[in-house]
Amino acid sequence: MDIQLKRGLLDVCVLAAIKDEDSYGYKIIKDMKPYIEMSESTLYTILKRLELSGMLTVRTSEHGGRLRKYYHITKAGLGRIEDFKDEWREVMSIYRFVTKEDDVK
Amino acid sequence: MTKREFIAQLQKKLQGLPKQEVEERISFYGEMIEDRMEEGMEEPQAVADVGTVEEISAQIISEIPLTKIAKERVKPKRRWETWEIVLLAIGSPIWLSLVVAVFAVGAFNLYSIVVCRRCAVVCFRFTCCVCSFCNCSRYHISDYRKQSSGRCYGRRRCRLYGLCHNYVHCLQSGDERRYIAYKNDCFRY
Repeated sequence: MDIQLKRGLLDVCVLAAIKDEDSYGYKIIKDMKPYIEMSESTLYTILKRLELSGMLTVRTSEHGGRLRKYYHITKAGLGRIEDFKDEWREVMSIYRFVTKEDDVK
Repeated sequence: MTKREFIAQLQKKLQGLPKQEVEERISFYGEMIEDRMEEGMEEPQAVADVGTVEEISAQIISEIPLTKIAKERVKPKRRWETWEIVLLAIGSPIWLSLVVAVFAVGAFNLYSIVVCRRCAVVCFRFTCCVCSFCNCSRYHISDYRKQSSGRCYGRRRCRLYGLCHNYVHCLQSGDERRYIAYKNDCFRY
């Protein structure tokens, strides 16, 4: 996939991964694996960015004798997902436009 | 590579960067490795999966903003704490007078030593108390002056210390005592 395009999608993907329930680092990567590949370092950057922009919160919890960070989506994060859906409705219409020409041919 | 080795190597590469940032990121990677191991992966595989030390450290370095790195490098100015200032103020009669005394003594001695001539009784006596080491045998009598009292007044210089002492050497009795010649008279001390 085009890198620029990928970059725009990763943030929302991560948010979607924590939308229904709190999740942790490795689980987020696993959930996204069928759809999009992501490395640890990329994930760290994205999580940090989302935290700073207030789209998720972090809490540290004990798990199996060690500490684990859990990420929880906020209202702003949910709003971002909605925005993404709206944006992509536009993208879909453009896609139809792009492919329509080919279909006609 | 074990998780511990991995983390140690990473920390070594990231030396000098802001500690908190480095700590956060390293614990993140550690957590990732642990999670993989929990799923059943072997430790070396889990470590390899997370990425190489070179890749990760290069990325971390590129991500930490330059301003943060610069702040870490610049030494913070040591500021005076409130309690330190208060303590200094309270103790000032003691340390201030000590400083003045030391300075005065130093100046005194410097004057006596450098000038090294007949000076006021008090001054000289004080100096001679300090440098009574000059009772050494290595000396020579530089000049003599005969005084009206019949005694000879000579100046003796101690070679070791280069200090002058006024001595009165009685040529008659051969008696030599330390005297201060002051205003054409001698005071023994």
